[in-house]
Amino acid sequence: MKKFQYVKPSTLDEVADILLKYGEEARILNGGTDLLVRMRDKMITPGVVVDIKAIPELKELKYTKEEGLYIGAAVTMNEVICSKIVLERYRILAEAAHEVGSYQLRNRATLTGNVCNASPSGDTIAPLYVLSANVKIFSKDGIRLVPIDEFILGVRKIALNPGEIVMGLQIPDIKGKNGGAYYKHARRKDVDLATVGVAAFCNEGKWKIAYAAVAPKILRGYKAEELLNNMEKIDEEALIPVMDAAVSEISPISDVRASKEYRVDMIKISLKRAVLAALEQYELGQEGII
Amino acid sequence: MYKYVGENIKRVDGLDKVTGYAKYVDDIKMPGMLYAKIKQSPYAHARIIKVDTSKAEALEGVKAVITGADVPNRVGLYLEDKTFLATDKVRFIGEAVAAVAAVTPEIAEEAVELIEVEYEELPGVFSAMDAIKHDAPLIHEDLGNYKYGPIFFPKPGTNISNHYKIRKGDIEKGFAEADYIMENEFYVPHIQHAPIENHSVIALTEPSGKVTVWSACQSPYAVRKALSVAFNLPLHKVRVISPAVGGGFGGKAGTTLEGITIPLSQKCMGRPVKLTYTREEDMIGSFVRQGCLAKIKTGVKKDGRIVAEENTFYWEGGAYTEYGVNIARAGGYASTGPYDIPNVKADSYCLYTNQPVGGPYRGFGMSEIHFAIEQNLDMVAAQMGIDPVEFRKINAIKEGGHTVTGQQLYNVGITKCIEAVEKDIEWGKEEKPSGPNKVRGKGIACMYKAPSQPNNVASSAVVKINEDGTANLLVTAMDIGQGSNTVLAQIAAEVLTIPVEKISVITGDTDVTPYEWQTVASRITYCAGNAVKKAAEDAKEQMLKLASIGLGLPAEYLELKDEHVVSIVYPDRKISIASLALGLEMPDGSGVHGPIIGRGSFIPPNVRNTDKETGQGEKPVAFWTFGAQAVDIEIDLETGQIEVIKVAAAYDVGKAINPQLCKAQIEGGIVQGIGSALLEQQIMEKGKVLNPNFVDYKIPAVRDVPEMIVRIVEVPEVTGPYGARGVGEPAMVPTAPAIANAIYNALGIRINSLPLTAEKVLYAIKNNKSVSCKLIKNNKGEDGEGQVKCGVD
Amino acid sequence: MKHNISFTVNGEKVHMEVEPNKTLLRMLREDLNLTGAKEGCGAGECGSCTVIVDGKAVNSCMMLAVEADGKDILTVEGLAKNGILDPLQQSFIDNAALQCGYCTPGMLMSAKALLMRNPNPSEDEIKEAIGGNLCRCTGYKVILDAIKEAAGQIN
Repeated sequence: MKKFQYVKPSTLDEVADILLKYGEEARILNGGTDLLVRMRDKMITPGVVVDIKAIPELKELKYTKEEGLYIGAAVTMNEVICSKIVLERYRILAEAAHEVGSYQLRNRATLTGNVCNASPSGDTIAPLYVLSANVKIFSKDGIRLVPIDEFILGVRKIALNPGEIVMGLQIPDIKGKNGGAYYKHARRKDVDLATVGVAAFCNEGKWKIAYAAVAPKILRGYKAEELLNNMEKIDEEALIPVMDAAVSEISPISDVRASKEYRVDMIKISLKRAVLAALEQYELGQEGII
Repeated sequence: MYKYVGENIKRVDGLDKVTGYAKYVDDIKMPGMLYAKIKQSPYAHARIIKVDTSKAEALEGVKAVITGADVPNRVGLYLEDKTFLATDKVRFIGEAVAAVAAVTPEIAEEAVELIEVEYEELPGVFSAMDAIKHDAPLIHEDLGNYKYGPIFFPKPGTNISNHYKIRKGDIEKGFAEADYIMENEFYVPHIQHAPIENHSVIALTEPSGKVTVWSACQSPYAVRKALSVAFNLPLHKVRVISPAVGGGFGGKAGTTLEGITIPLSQKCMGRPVKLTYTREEDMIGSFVRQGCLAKIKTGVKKDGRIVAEENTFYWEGGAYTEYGVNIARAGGYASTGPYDIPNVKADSYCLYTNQPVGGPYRGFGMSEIHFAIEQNLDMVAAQMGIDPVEFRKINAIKEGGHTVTGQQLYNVGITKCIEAVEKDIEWGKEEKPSGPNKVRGKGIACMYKAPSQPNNVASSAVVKINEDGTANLLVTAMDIGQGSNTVLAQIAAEVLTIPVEKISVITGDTDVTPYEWQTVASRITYCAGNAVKKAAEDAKEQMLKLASIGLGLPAEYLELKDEHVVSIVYPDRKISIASLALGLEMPDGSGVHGPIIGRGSFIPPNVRNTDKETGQGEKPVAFWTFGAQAVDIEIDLETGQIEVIKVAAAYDVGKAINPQLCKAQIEGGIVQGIGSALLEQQIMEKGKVLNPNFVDYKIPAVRDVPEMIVRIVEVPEVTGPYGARGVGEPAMVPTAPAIANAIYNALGIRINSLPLTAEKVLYAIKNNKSVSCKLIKNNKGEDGEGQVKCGVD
Repeated sequence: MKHNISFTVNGEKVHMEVEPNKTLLRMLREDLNLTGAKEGCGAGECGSCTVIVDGKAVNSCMMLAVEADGKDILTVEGLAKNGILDPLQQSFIDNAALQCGYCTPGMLMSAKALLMRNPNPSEDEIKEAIGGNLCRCTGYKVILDAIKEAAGQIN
């Protein structure tokens, strides 16, 4: 790793000042599970590394009926997975977080880090899409909320202006009957990147679908959603046109993990499995109210 | 019958390893230590025009920079075809062209970036079939001038570095007799050993010119010899120390990083230089298991007897085949698998390619050829309508049967192994899939393997009896995890009647511990075990002689028992081992003999060269280990994913010196076999490895592990210590073909290349696309070509 | 610029000056001579660098040394107390749950962190805890057995 300056501010204002001062030279250190690997490989060589784990509000995980769930940027994957409120009301998120890396990695990795990393295969991003999460961004000018699908622009590209820092994720409260599932297809059960992934979520009969690892960014499956929303009965057979619709919405590539062709086939199967699993949750009657 | 042999003695290295105390090379820190880094070639095949190191040398903190000019001598275990840094040409992507030693690893890294190398790119060779073409670019123009061992057959002017032949019986007559003839083709890709410890070496040059090397290596003496040749040093001026080794699997059997650190250390007299590869460097720059294309033509009688087999193996040996030539040889002399076939023609070609360097990998050629042999067997059996287990029993080598080299074998446990796994996997019983869109299947595969080593390789051991009755056992057999320290201590304990906890095992220091050829080839329990047994017996004999004087009884009436020399006739007349350790004290206070030091040397008996043209010979190898595995798998028809549910394994180990460790070896081998079957492949594009890391080179993790039923068969090897033979490598050989056979059993689909990825399996299912095996003679014995469906491309 | 940090390692207080670009793993190995934790990949894929920080297993190759400020760190060297092995260490020896030993420290620390938070884990929980620890030698089964035994599930 090349040399750099390490700073650990305790307020968001300080972070903003540092980011404004150093611009591209500065990088945020959160869980470090992505940043430090990329620095080791010299893919990036920041001059300043800004550790945000001393900022109290970034460590909060709180839920209110009005605002829904707030997951501070420095809340780890394992903290999300073990959170009672997440397990009760946003189970899909816990399931997806559980798919990220290894147990020890999840003690450091964060949901916000996963989002800001904006990898096409980020496991938690697709569920955040279907939960209509917003990214909460701080700057000296104030706080703004950006819908996650607008925040993520492409491979490792996010809509963050100079001097802005992501405080965390804001996920609206879910009202009414709902159920969701994240299905990941990978080469190995333990510690692997998604070859493809699908998040499916149904709330009061309305579906939201998101695809992972089949385009430069996570995609919403609008066509699939429309078909599902107009469906009387959802079963394996009824899902065939939905699976075909999914194929028309994606633009996968071939790489060392899989061929384009296989990703196309796996998005279908993953979609089917995610929807059926979500439906099962839905029919268990998980209500949005405890 | 035995007190220590056959017992589950706890690992003698366990305590050091669970406390984190065990010291691996990278754990060693020395005063004044420098850190090295290599400059790697970005080209697969290129002429080196110029190497400019001036900027690197000028960087503050840089202490030495070397290039190919500093290491001109060619070295190699079996064929001297490599230099430690590229000299005239680079022959694979990642080859070291220069190296730097600096005061910190960071400065070394920076300096390497400052080295400028000018290349002229040359056309490359990236597959066996390209390499063997007449007009293929030559990778080693000087092959004709290289030195090599007498059992190898390079073809100068080509990319063939060894052509090993078997001509047994009359192949044409055999095929003429056959009722069926079939031809099949298989491919095994390059894979990586992936020990969790990367290669690491420290070299120190003393003012006298003596060089000491601390190396994570399996073979200190072989390394010493290679280094002495490379640097024109007499052997007593090279000392190789191998501390704890974090897994080898063959990858640490050769000499690589040592040859880079030594010239650096020679330029920095008195300062140790450490070079530790990163995972990425390790995956490209150290040995890999070479790719292998296998073609098998089989002639069978209606009753299921194979009467003729013609095998051709093309090994993608990589840029240097100093070690690979012997893998091709092993593939040749084992070419039909553990079956007795009267007429055989086999050609095994080791080929240079512009790919990472092929080297020994657990199984040493056997995993590669058995993937072909064992699937071919099932394909032939399917054509014949014979059950795969039955077909194997018919053809397996029996008592007094013959191997492919014409060696007659006795004490053959293969049929027992087949029967054991047949029972344990519940062969023939259909299993219920766990859900819709899933199917189950079972498959079997057998194997045999002999230590692939020159005929007269030597082992030795020294046992020193201490004055308190404890003992020090000195060997250069390396415990790379397989448990040799424990097993060798057990053998010494058995002879000496000294408990294992009173024996210290000292290994891996060529200035201290006695000669051992190499820790490879599943040979240590057998070879070093025999040497240790002899050393202990030598010490015993000395003690019996002394006790005979002391007790006034003839030595032949004395025995060792519970740490004493005891009279067989009068058990109360005895002398403790402790009191004999420094010699016998006489009643008048004088002494005789002096310290008891047992010495044992061993060379496998009567192993002889085979005929150059036919490969035939009575005893080309020390012993054969036989084994079988059967698997039960489930396939997800929608994704192609395979779940290995159960593996039953049985190996004839002759005698399990430590059954717990034997079983541990076999379990580890099965899981490594599953890795090679389902996950592992060095994905290459024109010689560039695209997945040189654990992100995209996946080895099995805990949830890939099936239920394992391991059965140890014990048909003694008469020349082995207590009847033991090796099992470390055989453990992984049959796993992959057994899984491939289970796919066929489940779906009637045949996949002829590894790995059996979900993607490959899915398209085999979807397209119902099968490899056509060429049917040369049909079941009526009529000539004429036909196509039969029995696999997938 | 170097940073002054204070933390506890295996019960002992430590004050250090560290460069920001040093990982926790390198500090443990190079500055504190705690070489039990190993580097196998440097990228969080193999788990051989696993140590316990504030009660949680982490990959020490993916944490900066400066981040250790104020933390309580347990490494494999701190598992045995007064010469008495941790039950996990003993069961690893008894079950031959190690071969080359290179992954063993990381494996032990992942298992230790598990038993600290969950003294009676299910098989799935054990697998989850060590899923990020690669072992090339044993085939894992004996490791599962050893952890179960240490948890008092097998005698």
